[in-house]
Amino acid sequence: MDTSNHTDEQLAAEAAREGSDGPAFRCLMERFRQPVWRICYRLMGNETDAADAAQEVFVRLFLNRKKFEARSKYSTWVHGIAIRTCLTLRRSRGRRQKHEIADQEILTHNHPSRTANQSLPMDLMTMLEILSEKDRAMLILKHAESYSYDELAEIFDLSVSGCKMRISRARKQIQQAFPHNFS
Amino acid sequence: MATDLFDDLADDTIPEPPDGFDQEFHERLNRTLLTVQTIEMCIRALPWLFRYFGQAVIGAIRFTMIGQYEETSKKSNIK
Repeated sequence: MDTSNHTDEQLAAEAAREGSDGPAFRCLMERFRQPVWRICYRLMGNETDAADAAQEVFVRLFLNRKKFEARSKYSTWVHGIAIRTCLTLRRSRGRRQKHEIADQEILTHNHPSRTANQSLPMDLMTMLEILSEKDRAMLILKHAESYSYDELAEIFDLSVSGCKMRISRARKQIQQAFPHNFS
Repeated sequence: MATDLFDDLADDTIPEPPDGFDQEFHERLNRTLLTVQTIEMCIRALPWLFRYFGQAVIGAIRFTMIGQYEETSKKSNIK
């Protein structure tokens, strides 16, 4: 089957009819490998977690391939799944890390070096960690991947003004928390 | 300017997906499908299987105890 001149939506319909990962799904995977990888890398912050997240995204795309109802563009649907998957993985990772940190603190009895490290200069990605997962994702996608407010609104199921407000609030939150980095 | 600092996010270079990404994806997909299909089988097929063979076992016990089978099918009226 020649899939090169098919639209994403046509391929998605074809993939929904395929029993396994046939040519249509493989073509979609080829087309979206890079965009999904970019989103995952941006949101997860390192290669190992990004690879894990991107694979999970494609597994979910495969399992849910019959649920795409063409109410939005296929690319928007894929990006939405990629972002939600990353947010879920980050939340579960965050919970795990909190437990690990708590365990470490118990073991080291609140070692003073940890407090001293907090005053060291930080890079932007570290600063963004103070935001909620959703705000962080919106800010990264807006500035790093140049998503429009319309796209963000559709993906996060918010109004355009709601998106603008959340991004503006997130920016202010960062600026207030780290005023020296913005002087 | 604050905005400039946020726009620096776009300057970060993104590496290529790791080698063997597709291979790992297919292995993961196979594992997931195996799990999903096993669960589906447990939910759908096993209850049917227990019911089907359970009837046979109950029939055998019943025959041993009282000497007659349960009437499960009607005889046709063909003469």
